[in-house]
Amino acid sequence: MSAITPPRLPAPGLLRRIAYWLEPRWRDPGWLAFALNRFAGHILVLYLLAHMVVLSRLAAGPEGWNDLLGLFGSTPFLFGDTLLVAAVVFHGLNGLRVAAFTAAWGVRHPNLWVGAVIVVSGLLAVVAAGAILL
Amino acid sequence: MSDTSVPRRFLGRPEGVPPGYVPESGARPRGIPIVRARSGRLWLVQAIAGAALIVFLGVHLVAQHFLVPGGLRSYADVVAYLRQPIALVAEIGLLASVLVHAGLGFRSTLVDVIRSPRWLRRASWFIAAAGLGIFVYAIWLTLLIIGPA
Repeated sequence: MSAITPPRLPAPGLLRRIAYWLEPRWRDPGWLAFALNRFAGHILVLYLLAHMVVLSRLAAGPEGWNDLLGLFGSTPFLFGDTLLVAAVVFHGLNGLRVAAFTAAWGVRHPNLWVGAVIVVSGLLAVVAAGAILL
Repeated sequence: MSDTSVPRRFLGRPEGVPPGYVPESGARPRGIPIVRARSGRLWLVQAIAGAALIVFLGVHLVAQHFLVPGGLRSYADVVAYLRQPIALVAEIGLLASVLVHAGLGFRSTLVDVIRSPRWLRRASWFIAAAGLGIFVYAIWLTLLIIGPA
């Protein structure tokens, strides 16, 4: 029996519903993967919007663009780049895991795969951080 | 530890069972119809866009950062890269798959937050319009940059 029955419905109200998302009791590793996936997805949406705004500077011609390059090469932005790589890698690997589970590949050991996704994306993020920052 | 009766294929959660349900045997339970909801179709579209995204984003990152030592950085580099037809197709494919995937993903969050079907429909149309607007704007910007080549 693998049926998971939520103990109760979320309380009404936006803040209460968001608090319900963050409720850690009676959760499993799949929930952690889902929450991280959604969080990373929102970060990536914000990055894409920022990317669009930044790229619109290309319309200003070479001067407007090349001035930005120094800013993006500064340490805070490179640090943000590593966090971005971590979000992208985790979101992509977890998406592959979800697609595989949908085809019933690997569903015998769901928690093992969740752990593998988290560990592998963490390692890749550390490697990327080393390559970018060092 | 491992349940040996895991199904070979899981064709969708039957109606009337809680989330997290996995059938005991490989066969779909008889007498309970599979849910063929619109959200399921949208999920499939998002999964396909996500698979395309892995390819396009890989191409994008490799082309931007590893093809040339130091990466494409200056204005001239970017313009020269975009003037190649293959690069242009790859970037537009990336743009389209990103917008589809991100729009559907953001909508799936709103599905959890918004309870009114009317407002959910309005939000969905807003996301679709915003995505289309970004698509048209990005194409226009690209054509503006690569100029009357």
